Amino acid sequence: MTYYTNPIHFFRSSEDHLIRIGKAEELKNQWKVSIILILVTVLIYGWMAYLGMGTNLISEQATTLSQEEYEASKFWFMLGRALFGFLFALLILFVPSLLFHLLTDIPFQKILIMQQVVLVALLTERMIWIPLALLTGLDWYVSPLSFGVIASYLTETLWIIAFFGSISLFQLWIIWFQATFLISLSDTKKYVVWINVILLQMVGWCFAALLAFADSYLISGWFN
Amino acid sequence: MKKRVILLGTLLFIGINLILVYIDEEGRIDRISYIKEWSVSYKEDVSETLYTTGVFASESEEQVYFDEKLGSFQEFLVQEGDIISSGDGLYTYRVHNYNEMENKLLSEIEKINQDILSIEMAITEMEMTDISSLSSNSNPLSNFNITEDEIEIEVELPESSNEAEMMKRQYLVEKEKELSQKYAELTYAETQLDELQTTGDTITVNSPYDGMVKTVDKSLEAPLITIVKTDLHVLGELTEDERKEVVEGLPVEVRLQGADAVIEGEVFNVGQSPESIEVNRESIYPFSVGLMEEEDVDGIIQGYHADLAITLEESLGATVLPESVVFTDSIWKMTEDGKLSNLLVDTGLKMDGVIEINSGVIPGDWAAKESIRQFRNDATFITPLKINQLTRDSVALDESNWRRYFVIGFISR
Repeated sequence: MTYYTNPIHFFRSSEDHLIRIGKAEELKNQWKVSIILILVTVLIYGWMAYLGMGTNLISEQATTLSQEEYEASKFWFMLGRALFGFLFALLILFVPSLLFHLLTDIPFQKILIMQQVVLVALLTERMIWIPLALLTGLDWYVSPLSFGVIASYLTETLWIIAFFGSISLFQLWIIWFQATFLISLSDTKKYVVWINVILLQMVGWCFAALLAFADSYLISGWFN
Repeated sequence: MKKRVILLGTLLFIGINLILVYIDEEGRIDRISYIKEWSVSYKEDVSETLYTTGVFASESEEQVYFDEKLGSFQEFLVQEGDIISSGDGLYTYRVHNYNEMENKLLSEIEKINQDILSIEMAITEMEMTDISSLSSNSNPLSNFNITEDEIEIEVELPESSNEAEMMKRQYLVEKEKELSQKYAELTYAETQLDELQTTGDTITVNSPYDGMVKTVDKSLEAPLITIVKTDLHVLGELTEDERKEVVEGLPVEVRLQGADAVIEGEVFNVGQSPESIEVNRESIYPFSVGLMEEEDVDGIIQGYHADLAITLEESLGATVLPESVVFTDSIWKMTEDGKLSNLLVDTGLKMDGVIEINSGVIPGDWAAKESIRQFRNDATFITPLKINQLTRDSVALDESNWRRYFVIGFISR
């Protein structure tokens, strides 16, 4: 049977979709959906940058710049962010798909569907960060949906807070989702799947923490 | 069942987090503040001005009399409405007794000459007094004496030689003024004497004032002539609240209604009591504005109305911020490390939507504008992109540090 990819519908009746994906021989809409998702990612990241989210580093210099210079800096920031969004989407869509494909024997295309759903979840998380930052003044790593708040109470070390801040309810759901998906579609041992899924996510968290911690050092190192 | 547990667990988790955020008073959780609008402080002259209206009036009226014992009235030399200067002839009369008048004038001239002499002597003596030599004596500055009119005047000297120098100068200026007055009197008396001697019986009486002849009494009743001085001043009224703010000496800008030119003046006198004192009536206090001497009042006569701007208080070169940025007595300053800081400031004058800040802010500081977003102390601030502030040039590749910001955008999480 043919399966028409649609990440949004997936959320409604996941079990049903899973079964259909397993049985499907042909997958349609893949490219279309992927491209749309990449575009949407770029737009969302661009919009977040437009609002100023993430410009914390620039704010440090804000008062030394003229008004035009300040705005110009935010403009370039936005472009950088858009590029990041683009690469981020590519990364999320294709890299884990490749890895899991090698791990299990599920066809690459099918895993791609999984990652598309993951990307949608991640984008939703980012959309939630917008009112969080603008209205309640909470940055991503201290979102109430993550462990960053608790971490802030227990320590002051930034990278620890950032690491735990990356572990959010969305992330946990993604782990569960990926594991369920892969297990239902392949014969690989359950615990193997779980370990790999969790490991991959943890790499993601470490990377996020690294970026959060090191960005100011990197910038000053590179440019000064 | 399992789903229920998960759902509850999730809600609990979020709930706990929210509570933790809410009760965070020590600022353990990093916060950011979203600022949409802000202003930069700058320097400006601010002043608090009271606007009111006034009317031009003559400073005073003078009367000129005729002593019938001196002679018999001959004729008026001026009419009502004439503009005259001091020295212009007002009227003439025939002396009753030539010799008596001649002697009188002669002795007056002599007296004036003597006065002139003594003033000149006093001036010379003062000029010769060397202040610096006085102070360099071992004994402290002692009071010394100047002889004037054969009366010894003890001049008390001040502590410092600078003050002494000033006092000396002031004294000299006063004396020079007196001297020129005496010379004018002398000329007048001499002219009268001259006229008397040539005509044989007529004396012309000159006006001692500049102004306009208001009334001329043809029936020779006293006063014979009233002259309204052309020196104008402006009269106005103040309400009770206004009265509390106005004191003598405040600078005033006077503009004739309908004209553009502004005349500088000063509040000369503020009424101590209102025109009528009644519980149910508003108290209105009169006040007057003296005009600066050099000012040109051509074409303005009594009765013309003017708009007045009284400068109540002035602060030149004050650091100011727009009103929208100042909240009672604190501002949210955007600091150099990218954070928002709630600063208590001392405010001063307000003018045109701008408030003077007396402390805590230097020109060039940024302060955040009022908004519904919550400002938090010590939170890093972020601002949205303002497209209308972008110019072609600022975004140019070689101009801005574009690489840096691009990379920041790229590697921020």
